[in-house]
Amino acid sequence: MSLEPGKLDVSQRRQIMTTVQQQLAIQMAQELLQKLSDKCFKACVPKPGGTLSSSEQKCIGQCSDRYMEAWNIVSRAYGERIKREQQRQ
Amino acid sequence: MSLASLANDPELQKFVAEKELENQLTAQVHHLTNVCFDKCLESNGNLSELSSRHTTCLQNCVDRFLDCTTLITNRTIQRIQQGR
Repeated sequence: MSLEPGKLDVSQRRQIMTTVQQQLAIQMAQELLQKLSDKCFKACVPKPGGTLSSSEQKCIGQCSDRYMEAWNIVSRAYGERIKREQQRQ
Repeated sequence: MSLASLANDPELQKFVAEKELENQLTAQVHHLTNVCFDKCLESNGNLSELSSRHTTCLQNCVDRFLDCTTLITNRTIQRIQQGR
């Protein structure tokens, strides 16, 4: 309930922020999953057969783990680069 | 809650601006990982762990890619200023 017409109260604002935050998180997760699938399918399933073999499954598992690790390394390196650039200015 | 109240709320606007910036940075990380995974792991995901060589490669890749972008940006600006 708004105290003033045309203004948001604290709980409304918080609700909107939470919703936006959640939707961005979902969006990010979807994008990550998409990239993972693309990369690991390409790397691990060169010739799609009738099923995913156990070696293909193992490869896909390792691939997605390595990709996530790479993502973290890149994220950290990027953050540090930005910090260095800011300090330079 | 009207659209007007959403638009006029300065705290919300600040929040949205921050989130947009965060989003851009995250998108850049996605893109860098995409490029550097291929370069440094040679599109081979079938590894049980990342070696320190892989880690160094990924870190270098990020920095060199950003150097490359900076170079291209500056060069492009130069061309525009020179009216070519």
